[in-house]
Amino acid sequence: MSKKTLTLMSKDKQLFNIEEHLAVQSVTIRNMVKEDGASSVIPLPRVDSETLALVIEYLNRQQAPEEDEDYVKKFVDERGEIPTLLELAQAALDLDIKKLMDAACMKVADLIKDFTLEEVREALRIENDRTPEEEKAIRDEFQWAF
Amino acid sequence: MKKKRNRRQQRPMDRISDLPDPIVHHIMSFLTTLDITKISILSKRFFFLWSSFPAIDFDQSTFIAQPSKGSLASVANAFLDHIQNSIRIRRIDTVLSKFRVKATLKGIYVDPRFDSAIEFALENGVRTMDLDLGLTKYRLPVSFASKSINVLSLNGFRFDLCDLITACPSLGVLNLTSCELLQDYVDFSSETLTEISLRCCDVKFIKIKALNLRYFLFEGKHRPARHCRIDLLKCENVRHLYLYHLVNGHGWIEEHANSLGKLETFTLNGCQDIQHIRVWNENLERVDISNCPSLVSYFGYKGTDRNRVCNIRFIASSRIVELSIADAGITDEWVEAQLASFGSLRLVACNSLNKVKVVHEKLQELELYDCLRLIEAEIDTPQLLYFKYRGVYVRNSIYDTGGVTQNNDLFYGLRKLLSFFGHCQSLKVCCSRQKGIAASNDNHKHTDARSWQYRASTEELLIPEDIRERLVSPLYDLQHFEIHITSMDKIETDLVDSLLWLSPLPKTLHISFGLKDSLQMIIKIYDHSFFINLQFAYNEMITGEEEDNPICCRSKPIKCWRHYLRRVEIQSNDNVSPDNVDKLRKYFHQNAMMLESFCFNKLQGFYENVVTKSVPLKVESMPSAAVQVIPPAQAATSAPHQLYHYLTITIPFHPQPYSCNISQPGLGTSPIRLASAVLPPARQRYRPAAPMAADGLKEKNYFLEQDDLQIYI
Repeated sequence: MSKKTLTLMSKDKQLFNIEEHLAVQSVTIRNMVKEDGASSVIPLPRVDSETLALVIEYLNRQQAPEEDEDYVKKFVDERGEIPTLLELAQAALDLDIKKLMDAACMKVADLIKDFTLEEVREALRIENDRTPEEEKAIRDEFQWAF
Repeated sequence: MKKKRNRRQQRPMDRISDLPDPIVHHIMSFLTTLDITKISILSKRFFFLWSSFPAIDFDQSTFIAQPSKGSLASVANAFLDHIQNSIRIRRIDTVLSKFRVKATLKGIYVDPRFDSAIEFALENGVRTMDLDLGLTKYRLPVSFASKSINVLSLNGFRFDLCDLITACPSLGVLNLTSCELLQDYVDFSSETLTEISLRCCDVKFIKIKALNLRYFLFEGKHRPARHCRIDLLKCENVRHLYLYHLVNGHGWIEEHANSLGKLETFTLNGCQDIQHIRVWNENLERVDISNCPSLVSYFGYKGTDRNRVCNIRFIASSRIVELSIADAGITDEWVEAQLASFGSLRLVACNSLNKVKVVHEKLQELELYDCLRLIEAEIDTPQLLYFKYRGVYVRNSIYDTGGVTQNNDLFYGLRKLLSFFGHCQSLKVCCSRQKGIAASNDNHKHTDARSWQYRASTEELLIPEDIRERLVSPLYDLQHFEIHITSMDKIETDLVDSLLWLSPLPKTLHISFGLKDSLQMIIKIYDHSFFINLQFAYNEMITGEEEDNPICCRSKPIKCWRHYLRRVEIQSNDNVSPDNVDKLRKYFHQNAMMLESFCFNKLQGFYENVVTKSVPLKVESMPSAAVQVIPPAQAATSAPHQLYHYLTITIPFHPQPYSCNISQPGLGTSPIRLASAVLPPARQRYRPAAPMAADGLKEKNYFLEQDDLQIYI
């Protein structure tokens, strides 16, 4: 039986091929395949080509089940930049790949947990939209945490 | 911590600040409560993300980590305020996955702020609830009910467990610690519960019916130990069982044997009164037994998976006396490492054993049974009372020579092997040919194979004369010598002679043959095969007479039986031909210088033979004799089992004229009285602690050995 191949398209219209039995680790793709056989190209409008390449690499891994955990961890560790991880998490969320989602979010949490508030804001590109007074009120409420 | 910049960071920023809520929540789920709280301050959006985060966690230890003044009560009060305020600003828009509170509310039994927090969690469809209030008995709200809750952990609460189970129909995991269950008798059933842990809960009786229960842990109060009865008879799928400090009556494990058939993990720790454990279970992977002072026996493991048994550990289980492991892949190292405390060790069919080293001060019983790859066993056990080995002794030499053994190495080997047991009190040697060997000669006719087997079997024990001259007998101290030969049809005096060389001063020599070779089978083979039991009585050593015996033992420090033997008693069952007895009698008369009496006892079932054949034999041979034929009591007088009847013929050497006195049940010439039932010393060895009274015979260990029962009328 020849292996069926699917084509995924990133938001910048790049095409990626992947064998179906590997692609269906993504619950989203599995459902699409079930519904219409996914004969044509599957568009992923929120995933850019760089991230999709990573996802494809992840899906193509050939690991024994007992080594899989370690592999996923290493895979994420090697791409330990917060923006990349967030892109990966985003793609994993869209494609519904739980393991990748967990690993990416865990890595982000691991990285930001020792950050100061300012560093977290910088890392996650968060704009502080509170006035100093508002912020003080919150700090007072949660004074035990600071 | 500075981030390195790379080109990916130059990408448009809107993507990141637009991070979807699920991703932020997912990241938060990997952070501590403290870090999660900090998130709320990042921005308005993150405050909202914090307030909608579907896991709520209050931990007083982080709360009071900051400098806080005041008493324990005021800290608790401030913490409850914090819980209330914090709950007010929560906006859970999905299902609350987890609600956890860890606090020390000592002395607080009811508090509206805490009750409303619990209610908030229940209203939001909480799945996992973990409430730990420390050393208190907080009254759980009576209205506590949830269709969604799946995992519930409570520490320091007071409630009615049966009501709780009814109120939470989806409950799968229940952990209770230091809870007061209001009722002493708890009896509930659940289809959903898969795990139950009860730690330090006041309860006297728990009956659980939960077919899906996989995991059960009970930890009783360490001091004072409280009696608690646990009934898991209706939980047939328990895989993991942990019992700590349980006071539960002796027979709990036995009672539950049926419901524990799927056990994989079994931990028993500090259970004061459990004495015996018998779990025959192929799934068992891990057994930890510790601090069980009453435990005397453990019959634990019968497995097929060769790797699993390595997980069985016995930690500080100083009182476990018996351990039996069958058919398991234990290693030599495992045996060596685990022999901490046993008095009795039984290893059956452990084929991965190769060289075993048993060095143990207290071991009293050791069995190495059918461990087919075992080639060397080093046994250093000063207290050993009983040893049993079954396995391969001589691999090839006998078979190669086709039964005609010219190889003296065999005899040297046998002598060397036996000499290890020279100081035993009793020894049983079984010579058997396995079926496989007979089958390998399938070109022979059946009778040929049989005779070949016969030769091979007995010739192993027929020590050549020249060896006997040169060597010292290996078993000088042996008192009870048992020989079982599978394929043999009569007792040759040559064999007896050879056996009496091996063991020159026995009190009993027990020879049997038949198809079965195990101890118990001696009884069973009464009907169709032969068994003979020689008993000897010796004179005190009379030094003055030694020089009158020119036959043997000239150069040996200890003289053999020929010099001291005074009395021979032969007990036998079927198939002893008079010729055979006569030969034995002649043999003993020729050899034993001091022989005074020769007695022959036979089974009642062969009464006719004995009377018609044996009596004339004795009359003609003895110069003067009194013959008494005494049948025994009926079975019903002592044990309910079949009791074999002995016919006792006693022919003492006595100057009185010959007289014969025959009585028989049914014919009834004299009343029959059961005077005593005695296990001969050879059998007492097998169970050192056994009582000697006739009552003991009714016990399971003995009922198969009733061939030893002698009845004196």
